[in-house]
Amino acid sequence: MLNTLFDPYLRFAFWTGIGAVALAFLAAGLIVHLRFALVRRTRREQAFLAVWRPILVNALVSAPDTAPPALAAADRVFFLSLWVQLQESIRGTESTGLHHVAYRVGCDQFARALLQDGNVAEKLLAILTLGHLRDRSAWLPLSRLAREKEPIRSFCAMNALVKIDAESAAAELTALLLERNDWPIARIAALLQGVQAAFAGPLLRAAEHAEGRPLIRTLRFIEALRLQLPPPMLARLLSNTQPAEIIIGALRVTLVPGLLPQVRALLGHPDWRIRVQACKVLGRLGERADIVPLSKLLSDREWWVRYCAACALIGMPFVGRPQVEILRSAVTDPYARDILEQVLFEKAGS
Amino acid sequence: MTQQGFFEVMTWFIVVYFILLNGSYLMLNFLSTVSLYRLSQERILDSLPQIYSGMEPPVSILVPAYNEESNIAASILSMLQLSYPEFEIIVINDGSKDTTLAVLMKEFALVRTPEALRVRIVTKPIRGIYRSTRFPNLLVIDKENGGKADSLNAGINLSRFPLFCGVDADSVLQRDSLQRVVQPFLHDDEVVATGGTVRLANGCEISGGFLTKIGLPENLLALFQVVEYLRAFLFGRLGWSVIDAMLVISGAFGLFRKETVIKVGGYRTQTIGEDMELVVRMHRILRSEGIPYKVRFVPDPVCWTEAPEDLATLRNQRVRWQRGLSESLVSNFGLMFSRNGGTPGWVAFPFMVLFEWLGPVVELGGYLFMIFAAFFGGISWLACAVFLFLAISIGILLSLSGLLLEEMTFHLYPRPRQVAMLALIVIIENFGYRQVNTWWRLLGLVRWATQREGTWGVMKRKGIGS
Repeated sequence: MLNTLFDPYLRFAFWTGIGAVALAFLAAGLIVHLRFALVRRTRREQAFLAVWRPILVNALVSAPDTAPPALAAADRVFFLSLWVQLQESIRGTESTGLHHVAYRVGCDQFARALLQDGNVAEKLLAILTLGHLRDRSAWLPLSRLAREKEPIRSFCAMNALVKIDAESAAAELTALLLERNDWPIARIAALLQGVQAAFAGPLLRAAEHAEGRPLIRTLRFIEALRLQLPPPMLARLLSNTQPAEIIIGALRVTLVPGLLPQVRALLGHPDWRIRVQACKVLGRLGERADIVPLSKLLSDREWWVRYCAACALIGMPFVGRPQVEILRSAVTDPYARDILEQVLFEKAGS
Repeated sequence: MTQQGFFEVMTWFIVVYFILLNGSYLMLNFLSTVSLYRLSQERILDSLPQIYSGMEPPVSILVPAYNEESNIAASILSMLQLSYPEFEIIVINDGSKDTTLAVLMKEFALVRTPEALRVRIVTKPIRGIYRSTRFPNLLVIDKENGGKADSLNAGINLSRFPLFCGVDADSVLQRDSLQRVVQPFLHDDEVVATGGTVRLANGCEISGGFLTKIGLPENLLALFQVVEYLRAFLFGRLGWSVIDAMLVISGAFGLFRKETVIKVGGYRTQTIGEDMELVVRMHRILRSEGIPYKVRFVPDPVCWTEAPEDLATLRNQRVRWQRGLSESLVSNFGLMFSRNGGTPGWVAFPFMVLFEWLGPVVELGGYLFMIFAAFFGGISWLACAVFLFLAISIGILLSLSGLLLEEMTFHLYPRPRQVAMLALIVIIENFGYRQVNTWWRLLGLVRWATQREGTWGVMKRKGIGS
């Protein structure tokens, strides 16, 4: 075999090699093409920014008196990107000047068009734009996008809906917020801070009926928005019979001293994460009577429990430095002494 | 078996091996191209300030250091400037014989702290723990020498945050590297580790610990490695990540979920390639216990490192890498074709064994066999030439596709001349460099077989910081 170019295998190998060389040339051609395209795009973007950045930056302060220049179709994505970038850089209320310019160039129309037909990035830009514009006519497509599986796009669509109409979004999306584990709690919490009144009712009602993971997530939102659960409901959630994650969530939103007896009972819970949270609650709300049980936890087998017990003890307003020193000299367990020393050192440094 | 029969069997073996190897690479290339195309569309969002921010979990950055007196202060200062909401830096001085600890003490005004260490992974004894009075998020552990893996384990023990990032003390990080590499953790609770693209800093300008100008090295060996890194990261690792089968996260920069790493026992100390060994072990253990998890790759360039510019250092590096690969694969052989192995056990691991681990034997053996067979008339010289032509043309195609992927997405090399130079290197590297590399990998395989103990690698550096 493989002796002459008439050999079919050898011929096949030879032509495969030729094919690879041809593909290599094609790849080289593509590289050149991409490089030229990049140069063209960069030039176009720079030309666009030279004209539009001053207009939009001025519009941040006040609505322009003169009509903006015509926006070329090829510059629309640049416009959306710059417009959204400026909107997102503002803290507090939206800029009416930016809105004014956006409507004058027909931004709402082409954003809606991109929402339907754009690529991944264009769609995302369109979602953000329509949210900032509070474009009610985009409610239905945005609502559909909020139910998509893809996390970033669906999250941004939910964000836009909340901006458009918080009350309606709360009624329509609270259940979704609690189900979507891929939507980051911190981002949602930040978003809901400004519209707390709209979501407080639906969240508190959800806490009454939810179970399992949605309940855990509900408790996280309640914590982030600093809402107060009714004490009887909280007492039920702090019961030893609840799953650990729910007890942890409930401890994080325990803000009333009336529940201290139940919290103290959890100091001996077999799950160390619950003992940690119980220590933290006692650090916030605890009384003199809690010094002894917390001191015992300085010798807990789990490092974090020891650490949180020490932080709780040292942070109690009625426990002064002399008392801590007495405690440190009294403890015989080296783990307890080490953790007290560490936390004392940290407090002194902070 | 007759001589001709032997030649036929061997020829077919080499041909089938060659087809499988290059077919796999082409498939990885295809997967990466699709993935990077999507990514290139999303790059327009990079300029938006709040798309991803505000939800990042705090991260502990672990920096093992052994005899790093010359660059440790600059490295740490640059790390302290990373743009990330909350992070701590833990430097682990692994019993350095130089003045690394003294430099750290002076530069960062360290004071000894009574830290109640939480020992979750056993390490060599800790001599002291220090905290900076200038930077509250900087801690230094001084411990007895135990190697890089042992140092990382000590750092894990002291770390406070749920994610940790192992960083080489001599790496140059992008300012937003943490921000980028943490993204998969934000999208998916099951992600346990992520890695980013490591690029070569040779020829680049660095100031204040950060890269200020991207350039190409003048040294030919370093240029070869630039192309190699493009190939390895942009279509190697990304392709594996797309099918959930990434077995390697570079030790220069990788982000891990701490509890998962502790669950699998931390870094293994008796190995050279502790970074790869950990990831392969995570796959093996998590798969065998049926725990859902994901290991993800972020193609953004997050870390820049210095490549060797002389043959001896480069050879040592490649020999060490091959030994590390051998140890990682052999100690986790249970993953291969295991019942719950999934794509890591059924695709990536066999690929690694066949093409990366045993590859040097077959590749060099193949070249030798072809010459031998041609000499004894088993095949014609023409067949030899055609085979060589095919191997080289596919090699060029694969390397060029790495360059194409770079041009599709990051455009890091701004000048057309730089791209032209890399295209030229793509061709030249196939005539000698790749073959020499295969020889070094074979050496690594032989050295692994002699089972010498792993230590910190010695790398001759020109120095990339200023």
